[in-house]
Amino acid sequence: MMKAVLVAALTGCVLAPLAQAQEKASEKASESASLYPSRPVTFVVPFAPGGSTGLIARLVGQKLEQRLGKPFIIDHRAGGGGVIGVTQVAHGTPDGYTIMMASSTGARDQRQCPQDPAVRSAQGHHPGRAAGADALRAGGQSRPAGAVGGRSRQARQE
Amino acid sequence: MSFASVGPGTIHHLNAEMFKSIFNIDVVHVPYKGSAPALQDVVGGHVQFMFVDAPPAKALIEGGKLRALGVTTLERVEALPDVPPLAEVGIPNYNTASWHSVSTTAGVPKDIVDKLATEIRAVMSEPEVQKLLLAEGAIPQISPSPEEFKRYVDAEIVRWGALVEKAGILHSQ
Repeated sequence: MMKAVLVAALTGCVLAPLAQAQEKASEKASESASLYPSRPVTFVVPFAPGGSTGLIARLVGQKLEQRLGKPFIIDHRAGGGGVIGVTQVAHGTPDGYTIMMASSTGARDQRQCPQDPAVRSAQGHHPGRAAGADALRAGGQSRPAGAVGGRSRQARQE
Repeated sequence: MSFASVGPGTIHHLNAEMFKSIFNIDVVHVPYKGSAPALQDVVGGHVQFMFVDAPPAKALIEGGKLRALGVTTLERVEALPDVPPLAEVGIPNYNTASWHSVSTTAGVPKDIVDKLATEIRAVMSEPEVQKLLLAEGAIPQISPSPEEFKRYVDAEIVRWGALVEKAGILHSQ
């Protein structure tokens, strides 16, 4: 018997900071971009292996590795429709050594992590500033990203 | 009858909720931790259908293990030329797509974010990368202007926000 699947297409990649809520902290940059990366970068995939998020992360990670000379290590953190991985990145040290292949669904409404101040700050502030838009100004790609800013806006509207 | 998803609140879940809403049918949601375990159960017949990204489903479709009913985009997907857009087979104007982006922790120094963004743009501009993504069933995107991107995100928020409210998804997970 043939099973039914409805297929969704997907798009490219852009870099977006999870939020701008900690901008002041970023001013205390301890490492200049010219030295970055000086050690391996963790590339979080918030879904189980075998999906498109991991596939794209491996492709992009491999290319970044070639271009930047340090390993980009794929780290699958599945669960909660992406909440587990997003939470890990939101709580990470803001040094650029933890990045995430977010999908349109990788960013969650803060009410899914109501007790988590880091997720709340990542998603609840600056509702008018989609993280993706900032990243695009920074030279990123494509129309993706922004779900973090987007969901936060939605949360505020509700 | 039930449908699988790659997780609660994912765009794939929301697509199925929209599908339910359009046809006014009640189908049980079975969330998984990703497309691989979800597809396994669809192939096994434990759940009847799901919305899923093209790449993980492509081989199963080509191998006859899955039947693709349609793609969610208005245009056909290059890697699945025989699968019609849903908009052409009974759901006018159906047009959604999941998308991927790279995010990092709030507070990462702007010069590092800029460097990564520049490198990612370079990676995504490589013909080899675009060819690989197209072959897998993805659609590589070249960035529009930030303003255009923001409009896209805003439109998505309005669209999905209404559905999230209607379906009561936030309160049910």
